[in-house]
Amino acid sequence: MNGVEELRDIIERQDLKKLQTLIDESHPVDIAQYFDELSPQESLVLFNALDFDNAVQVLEEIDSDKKYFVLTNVEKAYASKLIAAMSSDDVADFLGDLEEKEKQQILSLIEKTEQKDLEDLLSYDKNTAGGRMTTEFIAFPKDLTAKDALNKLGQLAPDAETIYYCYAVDSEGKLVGVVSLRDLILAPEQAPIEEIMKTDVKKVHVLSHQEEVARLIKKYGFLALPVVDDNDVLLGIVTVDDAIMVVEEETTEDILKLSGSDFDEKMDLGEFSPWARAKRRLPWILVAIVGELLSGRVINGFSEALQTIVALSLFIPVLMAMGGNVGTQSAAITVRGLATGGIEPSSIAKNIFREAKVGVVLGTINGLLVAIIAYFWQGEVLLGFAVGIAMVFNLTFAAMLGAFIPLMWYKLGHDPAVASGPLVTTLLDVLGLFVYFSTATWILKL
Amino acid sequence: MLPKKDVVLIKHLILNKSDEAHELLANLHPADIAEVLGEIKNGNKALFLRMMGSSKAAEVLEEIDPSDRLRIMEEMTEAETIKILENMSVDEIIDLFQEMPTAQANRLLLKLPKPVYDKLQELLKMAEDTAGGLMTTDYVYVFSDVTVNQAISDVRQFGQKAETIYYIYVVDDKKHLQGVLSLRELISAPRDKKISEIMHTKVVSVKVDEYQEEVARVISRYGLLAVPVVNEENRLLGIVTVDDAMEVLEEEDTEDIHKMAGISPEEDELLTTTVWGATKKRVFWLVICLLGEMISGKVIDGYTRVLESVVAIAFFIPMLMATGGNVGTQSLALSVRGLATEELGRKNFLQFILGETLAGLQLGIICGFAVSIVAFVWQKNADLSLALVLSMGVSLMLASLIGVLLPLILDLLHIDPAVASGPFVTTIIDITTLIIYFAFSRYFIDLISVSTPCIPIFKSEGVLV
Repeated sequence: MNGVEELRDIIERQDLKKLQTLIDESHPVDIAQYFDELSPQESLVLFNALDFDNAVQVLEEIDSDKKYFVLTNVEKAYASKLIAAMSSDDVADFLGDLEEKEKQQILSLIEKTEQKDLEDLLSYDKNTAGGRMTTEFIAFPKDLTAKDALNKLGQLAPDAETIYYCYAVDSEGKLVGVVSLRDLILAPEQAPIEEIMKTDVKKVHVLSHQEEVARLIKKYGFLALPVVDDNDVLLGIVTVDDAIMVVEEETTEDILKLSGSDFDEKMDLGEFSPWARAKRRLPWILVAIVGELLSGRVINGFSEALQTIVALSLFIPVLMAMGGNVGTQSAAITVRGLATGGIEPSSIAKNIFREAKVGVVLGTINGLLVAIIAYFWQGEVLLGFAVGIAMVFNLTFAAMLGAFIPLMWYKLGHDPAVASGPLVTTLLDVLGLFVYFSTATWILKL
Repeated sequence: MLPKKDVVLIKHLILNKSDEAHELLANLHPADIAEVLGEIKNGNKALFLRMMGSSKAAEVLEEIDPSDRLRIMEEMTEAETIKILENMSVDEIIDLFQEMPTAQANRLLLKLPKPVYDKLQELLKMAEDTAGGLMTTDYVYVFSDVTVNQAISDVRQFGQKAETIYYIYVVDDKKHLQGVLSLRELISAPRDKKISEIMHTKVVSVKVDEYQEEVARVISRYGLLAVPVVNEENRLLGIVTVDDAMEVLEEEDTEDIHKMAGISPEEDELLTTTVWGATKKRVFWLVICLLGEMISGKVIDGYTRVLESVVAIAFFIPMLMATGGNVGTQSLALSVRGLATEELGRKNFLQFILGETLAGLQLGIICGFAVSIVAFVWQKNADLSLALVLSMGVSLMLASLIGVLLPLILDLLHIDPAVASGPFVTTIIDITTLIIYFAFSRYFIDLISVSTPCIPIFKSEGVLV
């Protein structure tokens, strides 16, 4: 990205004309990316060069620290105007990231009526429909005519997050229907909304998990989904762009959790703080270490056998690693299957059985291979035999355990991805080594 | 998702050809009808589709997987099929044709109306996983020199069949993409203004041969409802809509997670694969790793003398290997995901690598001390503990470095970073960890075997448990 260097240069030379051309050529989302790399002072110069519309869009994209810096360093009146133009879910997210003192400072820039809305939004958990929704939606009483609705739409349009779906509500604010802008435009002018609206409205409860929201939007191909309370009163909408973010965030969460890292949505993957990173990973690593000391205990129990035939130790790594690999594969398939709905969680036994079959086949292939290698390397048929049998058992069990652990978490009401990788691997190591040494002592008559 | 009893009721009404069924179907969302359809026996599915208009039937079929779609259409006569196809959007027809035997696709193609036929011919030439394969040609465009009034009536006229009418693309007389307008801006603009005066000229677009994941990322990055697809000369060819983008992202996410676990990606659905199919996807990396782990065995082989004199060294092999593997996989996950979501730009590579390596070192020091204390209590061998602390520190640092570096290098070489799978990385880390451990063990424990009486104590301990 040499654009940043060029931009820095322009800012340093105070070449406002050139800065303007650069801004005119770039999309606000791309301009926002520059803010990550510019110093606070440089950011401010760039921000002040933006016109109002661009400024709002850029503001919605940049991270909370920068947002705070910019908003507290421009004129108060301008800052108020900017915040008023931002969509309410972005403002709420931003406020949620701030310290109490900073939050009050920003809130003082916001109109009293708006403040109430924001406080409400802030009270929902970030991972729920309520935490993701915006309150800037368009709703009409169900008896309004199409013509009046269109006229009103013209006035409301600038503030709304999307005008492509208009919701119909009754006198108590209950959601009764939805009309797309497309239908509204194509409808006879005097028809009341009631007649043209769809009454089969898909909606989510305000406390539903964000994954459910994203799943519905994806399933029905919606641009937005209405959010309601217990009484069906319309509270807000979640738009498709937020749903995409949810999908991506949940995937990142799954991938990191699978490997036993902790995850929270504020985390920046590129952030530089080794200790912060180490801390996220330490708990499951320590759990795994305790488990692996048990593996050591198993070897200890067989140390006589090991001293008689040291060659037994040569196959410890391959058995451990292969069990871990197959277990992780099965865990990945299961976790992803649960996330996308490809796996039916109700029948645990069926899922485990399916994986077990794959495990047997994988175990047989790899068991044969390792037995042959062991024979040619060590010239001992029985050793090859022992290693091969241990491999078949290990991989079969690995596949079953890899499917079982995520399903178990799921049944217990946890995220199925939690530490599946390390857990599966550790359990397998203990068991796998036990089976290996038992088979070896038995076959080799030690 | 529909409640179970609704599904049963709907099924019942339709299979009895009740009058209520017509009305019911008209009010149901196509995705829900598709769900009910999934529960109906093969052979009865066509009956179900005949109960609704062909445009509704087309919408319902669009919600169903292309392979299942094909099975349902086989139950219908060709005339019925054609009628439904005419109502389907072009990108969905393409998906369907790609599932069909070529002869059948060609026969159906010839029976479609000429304009649809032409569009399809062109689309069929494009690769499936590029913008061209993903796009639809049902979009709304207006010319830059018309007025707002004229544009609105164009939208009304051509908007009926368009995939989205919320973005209106502005082109010149050769269909070069000039600008874009949202429907919102169009209806709130003064009616007599020229389109060229109010359109946005900074248009985000993608090239027709762009890989589908990149197309989806563009839509997600800019928060768009659709992105226009252009050719080399900036001529507008079609659009990709946000719902397709979501599906692509999900597909690519699954692929990434699977690849990271060493499962080769394949088109076919997760659960329809046979045992052998599932095995085939997984066996490749497993065999590579099996061979790799033989090198680990070879490393141990090189140190059998050390192992023979102090068996307790073997007790800690699993712990060191597993921890190295765990830490390496964690770094790998961060790195692969960071590249996929673009949170990790080229600019902060060095910082990121350094940060991970230091994080690994810190983990190594903490875990190393914890383990060495346990080892000392267990084995009463200070030198073994010393070797453990040092091995843990160095090996976890290296594990992090390898885990984070491999995907970055692959990315620089323009290879999909997710190819650096967990199993592959773990194997490399196993080898390095064992070398480090045995090197330290030999160095420290050999020293001690001549000067202090630690070994006898430990030997009796070692046999005890």
